Amino acid sequence: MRVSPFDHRPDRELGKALQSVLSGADEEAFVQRVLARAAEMQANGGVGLAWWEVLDTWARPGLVAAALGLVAAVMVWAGGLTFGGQTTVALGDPLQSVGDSGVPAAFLATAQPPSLNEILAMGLGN
Amino acid sequence: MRSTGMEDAELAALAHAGDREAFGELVQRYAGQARRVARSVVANEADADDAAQDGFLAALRNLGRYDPARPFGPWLMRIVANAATDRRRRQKVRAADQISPQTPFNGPLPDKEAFRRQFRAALEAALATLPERRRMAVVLFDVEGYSHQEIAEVLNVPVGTVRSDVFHARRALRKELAAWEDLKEEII
Repeated sequence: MRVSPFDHRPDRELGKALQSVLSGADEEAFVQRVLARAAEMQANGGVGLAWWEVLDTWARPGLVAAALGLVAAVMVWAGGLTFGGQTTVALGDPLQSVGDSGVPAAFLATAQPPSLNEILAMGLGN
Repeated sequence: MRSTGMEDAELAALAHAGDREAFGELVQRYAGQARRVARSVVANEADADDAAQDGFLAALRNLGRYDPARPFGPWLMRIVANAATDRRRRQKVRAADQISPQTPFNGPLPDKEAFRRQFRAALEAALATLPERRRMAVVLFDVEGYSHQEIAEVLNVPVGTVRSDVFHARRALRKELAAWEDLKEEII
């Protein structure tokens, strides 16, 4: 028979020959032996996961949760820094930032005379 | 027996809950497969049975990890294959009785049973010359009828590797079968 690596069908003849070579004798005795050992194990409380196996099953989700928590914390922290910086800029009133001369910078930065509102605002702020 | 007609996944769930009858039914269903897969790894029949038993008991302990959406056979066979590999590594290296492949035409003409014994010994010897993974792959494919994809999951290798392993193992074993061409109808 021609052998092809693409042959996806089991070879019945070879399978039968291998089965005759590999099959053990007295299957019922084997089954009874396994069941007796399993009953013994269950009686000794050996069935179910041991504590280290339980920890092992939790280890991966635990690590993922910790990593997500860390990422969230970093994002909150970084967001706070960015937000804090913007606060300084946004809330900064040019009329309140007084230079060495004691005159608000907004007054010095323009060639135009200040409006009445700006003068009133400065007066109220001081 | 009430569990006879149940699906593997149902039996696994019951066995996990402590139902001994359900576990017994699973052992009954997969005993032959498990012993053959273990035997493809461990040459000695008694050691192979011990390995198959280790596999069943390990499966019972870990039934909580079995995903019922997936077939039970490959999951169990993976555990059995690992148990057999562990046992083979642990056991002392024993000098296997190497039986050189023989044709039945040498010496005095033996009877049919003697032919059969010779044939099995020769095929076993041919199987022993294959690498462990190829032995498991060809047994799972040609004897147990698993798909390449399922065997890839059992052996934890890519599907292409399984195809290659089955191909090379078959080629080697068919050479052995060819020597028995005239008598195989009677002895297989």
